[in-house]
Amino acid sequence: MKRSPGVERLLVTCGALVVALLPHLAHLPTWISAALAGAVLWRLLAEQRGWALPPRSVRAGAALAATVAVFAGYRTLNGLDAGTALLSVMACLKLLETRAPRDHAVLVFVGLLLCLATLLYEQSLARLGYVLVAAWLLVAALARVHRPVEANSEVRPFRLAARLLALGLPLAAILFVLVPRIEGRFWALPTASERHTTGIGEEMSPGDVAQLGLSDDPAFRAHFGAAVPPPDDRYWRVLVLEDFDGRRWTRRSGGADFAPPELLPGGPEYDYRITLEPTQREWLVGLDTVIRWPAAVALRSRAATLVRVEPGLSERAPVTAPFTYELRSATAAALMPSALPADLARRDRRLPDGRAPRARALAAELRAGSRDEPAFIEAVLARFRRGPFEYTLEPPPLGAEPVDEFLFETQKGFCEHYASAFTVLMRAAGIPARVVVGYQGGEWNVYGGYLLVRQSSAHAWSEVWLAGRGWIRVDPTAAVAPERVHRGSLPLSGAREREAGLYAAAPWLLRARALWDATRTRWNEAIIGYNPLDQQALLERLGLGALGWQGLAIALTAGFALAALALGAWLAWELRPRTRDPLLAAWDSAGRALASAGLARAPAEGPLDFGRRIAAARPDLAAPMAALVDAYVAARYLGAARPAAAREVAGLARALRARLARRGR
Amino acid sequence: MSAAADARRALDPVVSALNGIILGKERQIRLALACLLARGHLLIEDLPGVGKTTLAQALARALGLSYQRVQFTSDLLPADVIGVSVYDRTSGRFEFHRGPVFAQLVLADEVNRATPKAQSALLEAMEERQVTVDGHSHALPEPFFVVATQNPSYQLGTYPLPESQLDRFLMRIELGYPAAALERELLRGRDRRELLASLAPLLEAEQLRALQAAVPAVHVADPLLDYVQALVRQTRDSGHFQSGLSPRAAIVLLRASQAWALLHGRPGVVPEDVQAVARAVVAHRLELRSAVDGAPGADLDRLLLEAVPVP
Repeated sequence: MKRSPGVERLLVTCGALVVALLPHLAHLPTWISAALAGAVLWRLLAEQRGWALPPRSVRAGAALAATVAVFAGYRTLNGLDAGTALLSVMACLKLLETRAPRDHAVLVFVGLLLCLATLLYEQSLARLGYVLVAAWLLVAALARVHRPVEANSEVRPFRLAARLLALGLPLAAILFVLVPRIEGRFWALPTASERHTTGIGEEMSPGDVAQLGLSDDPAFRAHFGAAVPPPDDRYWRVLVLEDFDGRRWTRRSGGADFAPPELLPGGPEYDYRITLEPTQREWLVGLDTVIRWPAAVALRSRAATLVRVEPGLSERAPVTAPFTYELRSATAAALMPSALPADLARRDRRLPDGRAPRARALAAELRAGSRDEPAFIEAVLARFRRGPFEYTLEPPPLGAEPVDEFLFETQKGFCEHYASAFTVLMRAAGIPARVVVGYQGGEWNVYGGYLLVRQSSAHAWSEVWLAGRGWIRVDPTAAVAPERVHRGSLPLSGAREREAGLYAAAPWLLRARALWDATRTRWNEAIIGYNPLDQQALLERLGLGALGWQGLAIALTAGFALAALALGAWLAWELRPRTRDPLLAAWDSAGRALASAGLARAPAEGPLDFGRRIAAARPDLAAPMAALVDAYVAARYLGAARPAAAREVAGLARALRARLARRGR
Repeated sequence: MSAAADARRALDPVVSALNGIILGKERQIRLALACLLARGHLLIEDLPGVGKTTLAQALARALGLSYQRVQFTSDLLPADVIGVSVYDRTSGRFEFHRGPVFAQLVLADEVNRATPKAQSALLEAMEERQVTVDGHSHALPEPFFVVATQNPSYQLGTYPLPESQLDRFLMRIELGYPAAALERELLRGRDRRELLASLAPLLEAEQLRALQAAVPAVHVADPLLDYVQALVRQTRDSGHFQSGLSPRAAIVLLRASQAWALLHGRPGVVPEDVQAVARAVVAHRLELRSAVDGAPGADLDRLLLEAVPVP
């Protein structure tokens, strides 16, 4: 089948646009994806078959309908999601009226905007690579549009686009480093409510962590300077859950309790830096127990958990982009050793009335047989250990009284079940206890020198308060399945088992994965995490520290203006009319004078034809023009060049200009 | 003035005489003359009855050339064109009987109706300017000018000339229908054949030969060479054509431009001369990469002549 000549050009533009749109398909409604596919196919067919494009009224109606549909879907036209949807729909509609190069250019610009939006959603290294490819294709499409429509199957536009992008990279790098960075939520367009959150949730009921456990996504990375805590000490604290309704553990709500708690350092201390993947929540993670933290982080004094704070803004500062902070932890620090506040003591002993009667009975029985509280704890753990408790990720469902059912009937579960049951038993015996959720474990990355903790390392354990010793971590899961704690992740399910087998068969795959993760981490820290403080430090190292961001902005603007001026001057010099030949100079001067009178010579027009055209258009110029053309042609083409010829032509050109000027007046 | 002015003085009457017979085709007449002056051969492609034969005959008469016509048919043999050796009983030797190709102006009518074998006999003679039969070479007369006509190849029963043989023709022109007013004049006026008969030779053989010799001497300035090279480069680099012009094509384009300049009494070639002959010289040597709607000639002008600035 013979292709119509415009099809290829359209194909290039559509292809680039589709590539730019692909990352958005996941969060666009299905009807937009369908409309896009339909529009592309229809437009290509229309070009091939020579169908007429829809009339203006139809297009206007469609645009209105699409806007209404997007508004109906999102309840707004504002924001990243709705904006992207609107942009995508309008690209479909623009396609329906795409004829001239100008229309193609509009599509290309829409595509570039979509690329930008892609980066607002996610700024990973892989995503950046994809966006670069998309931008390359889009620029190539733009270059292709400016080639003749029938210049098909050329590589030239693609090569040109690659070169342009390569030329743009140093400029982008300079701007990235020097443009004053603004800290804060300005860049974090997606608000927490718009985005799904990842990581550990605000409440715990049987089954939650299991879902997390299947995800292999990184949760955070911890860079250690010298010493790394041994696997059994790698408890990463995120949240403390204190309220229990018989089934669900929830966070104690409200209360800004940022007064420094009573903390007695003990055991080995570790200095480390954590880079947290975006969670859309303000909670941070820290090695149990954090004893020193930076200004952008606050320690809730009662729970000893970390939250992100932003000076000058409200307290909630969700982590919407990778967030890096430095901490110091002591793995055997004592938290609130001397006294527990009364309200806390009350709250952490409370059990919902009438719930878990058999657990209460068991606690009473064990407590009665124990000489003191530590012995009681040991007795409970021993009970777990003796079994027949079993650690499994696929526990049987629990009914109305989950704690009792778990303790006495199913006896199968994972960290949540054990932590929950253990805490209930503690409270039943009058010991203040609470559930801590976080992560346990981490894999050491030799390339990056950090511990990578994945979502699959999510964990829950208990804390009990003993007078004189403070809050003590007790991990009942370790009693049942010590290898879970030692290895630092959940047992493998079927698919992950296969994956692990693959890694075991090809150890280089594991190394490649570690290397890739280390690269990504460097990227997140150096590029994504580049913040005003880093910038200031860098500028100081460059000796520009004194400028401040206002000075920097002024310097940048001035610098670019100067560079543009220099470039312009150089271009003007390069492109200056280079007619060393006085004959040509004289001829060109006449040509310019005629051009400014609206009688420009076409580039491909010979001098004789030009002369005839001028004579026809302006009879008053016929005589001087004829003389000029004759002299010029004789000197330039007819082999009659004499030294005086140039001067003669110059004289005739002057005469013509004079005639033109007289007429002009 | 000079040789150029003399040339024009000699050729203008020829042009006007031919104009009187073939109405409204001055451009084609001049192209045919330029082709002859440049010692090239001419291919006229058009429908029957638009005056191809008349043009050839009129040229021969006005220039005082001997004239032969070969009607190409599918059963034409090479010997029918170049001649045949016949045994002479009286002398006891083979005598070569010259074929119609031994004329100064040969009209090869409907050349694409003959088989490739007969075609190539003529085309070889055009190239070599001599005929070799039984090991003896026979020089063709001077000047030697072939006007071949062909019907558009979409007509039935034709053997289209291959590209390599099209290259033997310096120019390919089309005559086209006459304008309405001129056609009326044609209908009113006398029979063309009578007019032809009344046409007296306007040039002597010696004069024509001198004019042909003057063509390569027409001045070619450096900027003009730049222009010709730029045109050739455009055919090679722009991507609009299947393949670019060959160096030989560049040479004949320049030669044809010189002839055109001479015909107009110019001592040197100007860009307009190149532009005037370009389509006739170049069109049958180029193939557009993608056929765009509209006349192919218009495309050639747009993609070649209008795309290359005059230096």
